Amino acid sequence: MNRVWIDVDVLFTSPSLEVCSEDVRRFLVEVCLALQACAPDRIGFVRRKSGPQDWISVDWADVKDLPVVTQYWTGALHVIGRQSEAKKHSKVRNGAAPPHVAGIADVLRTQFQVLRAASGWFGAAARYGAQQWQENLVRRSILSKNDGVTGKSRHSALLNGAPLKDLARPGDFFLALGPSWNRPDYSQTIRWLRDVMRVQFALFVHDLQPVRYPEWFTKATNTHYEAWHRTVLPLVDQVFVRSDAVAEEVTGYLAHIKRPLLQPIVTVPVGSGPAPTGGNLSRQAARKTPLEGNYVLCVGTLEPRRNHELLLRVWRHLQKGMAEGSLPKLVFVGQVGWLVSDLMQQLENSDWLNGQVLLVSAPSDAQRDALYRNCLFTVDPSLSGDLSLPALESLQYGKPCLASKPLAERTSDQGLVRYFDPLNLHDASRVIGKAIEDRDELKCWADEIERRFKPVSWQQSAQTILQHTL
Amino acid sequence: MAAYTIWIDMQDIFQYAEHNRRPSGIQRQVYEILQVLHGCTPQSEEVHIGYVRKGVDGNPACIVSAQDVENLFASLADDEASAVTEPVRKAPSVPKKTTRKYLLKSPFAKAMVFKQFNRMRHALIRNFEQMPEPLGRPLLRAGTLQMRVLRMVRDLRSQSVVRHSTSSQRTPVRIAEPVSCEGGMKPGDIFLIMGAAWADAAFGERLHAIRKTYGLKPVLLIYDLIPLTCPEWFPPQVVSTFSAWLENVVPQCSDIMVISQATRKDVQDFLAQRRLHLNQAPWVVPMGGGFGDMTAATREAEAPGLPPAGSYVLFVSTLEARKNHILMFRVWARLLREKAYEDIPTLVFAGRPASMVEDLMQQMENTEYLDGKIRLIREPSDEELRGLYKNCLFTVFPSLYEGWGLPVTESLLFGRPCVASNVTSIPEAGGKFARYFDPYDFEDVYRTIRQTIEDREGLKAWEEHIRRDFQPTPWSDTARAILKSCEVAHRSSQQPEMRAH
Repeated sequence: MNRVWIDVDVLFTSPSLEVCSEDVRRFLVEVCLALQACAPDRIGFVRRKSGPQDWISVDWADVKDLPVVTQYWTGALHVIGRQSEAKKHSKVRNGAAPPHVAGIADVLRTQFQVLRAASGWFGAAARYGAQQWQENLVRRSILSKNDGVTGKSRHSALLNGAPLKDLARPGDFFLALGPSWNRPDYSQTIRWLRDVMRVQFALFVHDLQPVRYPEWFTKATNTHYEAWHRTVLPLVDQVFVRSDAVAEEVTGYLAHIKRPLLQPIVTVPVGSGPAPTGGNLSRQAARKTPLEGNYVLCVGTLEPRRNHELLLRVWRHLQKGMAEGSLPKLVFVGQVGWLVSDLMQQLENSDWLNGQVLLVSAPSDAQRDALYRNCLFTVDPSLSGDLSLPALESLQYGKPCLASKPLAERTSDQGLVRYFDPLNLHDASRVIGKAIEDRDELKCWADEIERRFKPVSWQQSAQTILQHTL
Repeated sequence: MAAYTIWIDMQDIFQYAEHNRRPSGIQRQVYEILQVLHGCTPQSEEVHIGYVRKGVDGNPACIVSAQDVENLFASLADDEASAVTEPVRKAPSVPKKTTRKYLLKSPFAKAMVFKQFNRMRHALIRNFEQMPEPLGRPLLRAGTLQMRVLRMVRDLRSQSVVRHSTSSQRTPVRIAEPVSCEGGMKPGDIFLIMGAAWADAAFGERLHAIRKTYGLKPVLLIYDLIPLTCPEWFPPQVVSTFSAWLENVVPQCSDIMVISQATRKDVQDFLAQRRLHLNQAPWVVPMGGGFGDMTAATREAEAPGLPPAGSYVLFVSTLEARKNHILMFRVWARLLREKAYEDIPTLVFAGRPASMVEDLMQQMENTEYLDGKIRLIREPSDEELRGLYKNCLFTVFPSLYEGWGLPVTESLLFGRPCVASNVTSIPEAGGKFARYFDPYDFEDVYRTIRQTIEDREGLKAWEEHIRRDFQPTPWSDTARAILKSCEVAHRSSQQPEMRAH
């Protein structure tokens, strides 16, 4: 009986956002969960212990306890937006009696704020240290549990902490679902797997964008990414992708570097099943999320290809044309990634567009759920040309989604997503403005989604993968 | 009509010279206008020009001589040449009088300290930003607030000087230098503000004192209201200082000039919002063009080390978010994807990286400056700028918001075609000689620039068109319009008296 070994090393090493974005991690965890549910006996999880050939198995129960995964359930909510009320008031005061210069009282008050912010740092440092320590502890306890072969697993003792070289059988599959390109010696692993262990290697390619659009990433990423894919892609027995667009990219790239493709690429439907924990949001968490009032949601890590800046411009534009208070808030959900310091600065400078824009970083599933349920609609102005996971989630929640116009027709949206040109402010403003103003139409659209949308479950994603590996 | 004097406020330029050694856009423009202003005063009527600045004793308007002003600009004159001849040039302007000692109180030492301080500040900010977010954020916040405290203290100090003077001193004007001008200031004279006066937070108070003490009538030249309309492109401190300045100063001025129709609209919106009325609708002053000695433009440029002639497209501007360099970066990135490398001209950014271009700089770094297709010529001298303009294929100016758009005018002055964005005042600057794109529609931008690059024949014809038909606005037009506006202001100030008679 063949098995599929899944590389979950990325969950143990918690690399930077640029290596493993929120979307990718979510995908990884969901697919692992679904695979585990579909064929528990034929799935094994492995992580790297030291050298490129030293891999050991881990129990899924332990993976589930990892901070990166639990955080995804419990959340670490920060709402960032306009600074505290105090500042707002002082602004109002300033505006009412246009002051020439602040008085001595103002100077002292600000100086006091400096001291307070500085003293707050110690608390923050302590909290941060404690959190890091705790996460390390959890990780280490899992690691140490894995190191001994004595772990009690439901399936078999073999599956916990045993080295892969004892477990793998010829004909098995080794599946890299998450990103591994930050490991430069990965090709050694693959060669060992294929040539020594006679195990086939399958790779899930999330995208090849650092190769095509190096300007959206940092230099280190670009260098590693390109070199890694150049050496690894020709060794892959089975390539999985999430959309036909990525499949084309991969084919194009292989042709470009004049390397063959061993097996036809398989497109895995991306699940959008409801999050496992639904609905019951604690009162404290609810208070912290911007639930009151109307808002539009934009979910995704803040990074250049996500094009958040367009939305900032659109909101500035709409603000001019709409009555005070009728413009819904814009809520960004996602962690602050790379190459967005200027965007953040612009948000700061404009006082978060006078409080119109909010950033919710790292919400838990329950909070995410609440954010989706209560929004008017979602927008996805990404430049990457692929229907994102958040767009599908939006449909899943019955919320209309406005996304960037794709280059080619796509079927995954089931005709329920509407599009705008992400490089044209006028088009984007028109489409988004219309959605905001015409609430009846929006309602009809939401109803249509409710009626017609056929969600893809993560189980389906898992099954597709299993079909091509087992 | 009675004779009157136009008192030009030089305070901001004196202040600027304390910290900087090279003039920026506005100081240049003021300089050019002053050069021709005297020549444009109507002979028949009695109009005099005088200069004032804030006195060391806090006197809000203290007369300075024309020689002082000349020295001031000489100390700001740029180019390497001035660095070499610095001691020579400096010598005559080293002051003996207390007033002037104040203004030039070891500007170099001051600038050095300032530079060091800024360097340290930036290093700290970078360090804080690299920390994990929960650790870095409180430190950044504390730092920002501390800077605010320092600025407040500075403003407070400069304000107390003004206050002190207005409350106690009613003595006649202290004259910095024996000025041959007919007496001091008298009611009905004009107080002309055409520099960057908003740098002084206490300017409103000072203006008030000037109006009350001397009865001068202020005439204000407004370049733009961008910090107010688009605060996201400016540090919060600039926005709050600028808007406080406007709120304080504009209600005191019933005569306002603007440099473009676009700014005029912004000013009118502002006035309507505040329910303010003007003596005359904001007067649009035509902007001249050119910098330094434009006759040198015809000379062969002596600036070695620049890209070869005809191999590049030029974008002259400080690098900041509003100027939209990122758009050109994107256009060139796409050109590289769609065209052969050797068919694409180099894109030359001439300017100094300033605020909110960290990511752009990083992106250029990440892509090896688009494999060498982008060159950043930092802080070009006048001579180099001339060379760059003369030898470029054409210039681009994709800015998102302008009060005028000087680089467009300059490009045309050098006979170079310009492809610019079609928003705010830029079409006024380029007229029918520039071509335009919509900076918010990438397709349009890309198409326009690509066509311009590919159609060399068309480019030739366009150059020819500019050479034949382009009529530059001389600075004397600007000066005349300013004088006219001052005259209207003066007349209106006389009217109530006449009625009383």
